[in-house]
Amino acid sequence: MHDEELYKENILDHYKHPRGKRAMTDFTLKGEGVNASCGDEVVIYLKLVGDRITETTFTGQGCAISQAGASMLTERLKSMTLAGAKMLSPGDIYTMLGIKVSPGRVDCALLAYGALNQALLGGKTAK
Amino acid sequence: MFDVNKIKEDFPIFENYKKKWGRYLSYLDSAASSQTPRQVVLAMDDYYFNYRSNVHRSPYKLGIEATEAYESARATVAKFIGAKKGEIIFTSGATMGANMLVAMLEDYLKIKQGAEILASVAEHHSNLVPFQELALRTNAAFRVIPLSGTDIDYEKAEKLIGPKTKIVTISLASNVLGTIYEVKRVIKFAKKVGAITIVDASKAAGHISINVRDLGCDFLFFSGHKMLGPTGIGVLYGREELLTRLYPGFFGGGIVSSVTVEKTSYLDIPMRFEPGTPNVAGAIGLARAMEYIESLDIGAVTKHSQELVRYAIEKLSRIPGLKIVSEKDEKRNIGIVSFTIDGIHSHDVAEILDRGGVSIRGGHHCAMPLMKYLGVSDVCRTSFYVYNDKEDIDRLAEGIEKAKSVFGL
Repeated sequence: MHDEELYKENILDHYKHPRGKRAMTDFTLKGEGVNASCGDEVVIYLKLVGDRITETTFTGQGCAISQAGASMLTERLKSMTLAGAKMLSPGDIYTMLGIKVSPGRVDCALLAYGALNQALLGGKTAK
Repeated sequence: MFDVNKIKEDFPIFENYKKKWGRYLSYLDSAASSQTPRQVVLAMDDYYFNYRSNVHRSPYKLGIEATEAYESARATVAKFIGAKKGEIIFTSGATMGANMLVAMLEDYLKIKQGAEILASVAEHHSNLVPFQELALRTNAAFRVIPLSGTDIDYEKAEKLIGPKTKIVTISLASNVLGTIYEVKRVIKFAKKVGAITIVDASKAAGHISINVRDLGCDFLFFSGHKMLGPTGIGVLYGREELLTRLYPGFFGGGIVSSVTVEKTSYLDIPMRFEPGTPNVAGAIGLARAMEYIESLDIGAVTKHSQELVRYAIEKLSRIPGLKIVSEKDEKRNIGIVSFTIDGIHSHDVAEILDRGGVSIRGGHHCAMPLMKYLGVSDVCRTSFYVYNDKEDIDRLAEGIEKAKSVFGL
């Protein structure tokens, strides 16, 4: 695999210019993901109107794969229904990243996905 | 003359890697786990193929031979660190050594509220978490000795160690900063107040000459796999006078002199602390690794690492955006150069380096309190050993430049 394949322009772009990277105070659902092996972390915030996700943001720090993954996921989730978000699979995340993820980087690639799942399973709800 | 090319021939992984991946292997992660020379594997094969059996209980030729090999391995380990044979307990590794020690000391020291347990802030989790947990369950206080630059703050250490201090545990060398601490100074402070002194030699064993009498510590532990030995074997040294007074921390067969349904009495040291069937092959392999290191001369091994540290620092310092966080004085460095690169996470650096056959580690290196102390989330770590040379460092520097260009820096 060439470097270009892993660190695609798209991934680097999301890494350097993350979309929706900010904490949300009036969120409906919030989920956290931590990669124990490297300390990378992502927090995902979802705002819902009925069953529809109207806004998604994230905060976090970590490698290009984990942070670009979070940025892409927030874009992807926008205007999805809650049911639709629950249908997302790890395969969808790999497709979204558009790279072949090596076993060593699976945790990086799925960090935001783990945070999303925590949010969807009830996660932390705003007061 | 330290001949790296000749040494490399003892490590089949370098040839095998080339065959498999079509490029050289620059293995710069021995601080996580070293490679294993053929001699070590052959010594273990010999046990498995020629005299495999249990030790200390089998009254036939194989059993006698296995017991002799296992006990002879213990003698080799004792000699390697300047201890007596009875002071050597085989463990599964440093982490188990620390946990066994906690189990042995908890009852002996009667640790309770008001007592203090001290470790440095730079400890590997294996030498921090077991003691932190001990403090938590006994309501004792767990305190950390801060750093001053890349070294222990010895003045603060002296102030922190007082009459309430029951245990002081510190590594001989940092697994991230590479610093070889002056543990003797800390041990001296601890001795004054009668505290138990523990040394984690995981990063230092096999890299510098270790003598437990010279250090003056009560306990010392390390793993075999970071010093050319197999995985799953380690050593816990305990000073004889102290060890004889300790009760086993773990129980079972192989450690008892008599058992009734009411009560058990235990064997003498060190057997008392090795319940169950030990890692016989591992002990034999570890002893062979020590002999291998001695055949290279430990002084020459140390010097070789220092040369590589100096070269790496010289080379890496020239790269814009790269900050070295480890000990820069090679004479005080165990063979570790850690750094950060502005704009690239350590895992991304490691991944791109791997494409060029350079293996380094990124992340927090099981030292999260140290990372917090340094104000970073992760660092790139390179560590050197007997099979590394300057070409490895050249490839490392090239790879870093490549990583920077991939990230448009």
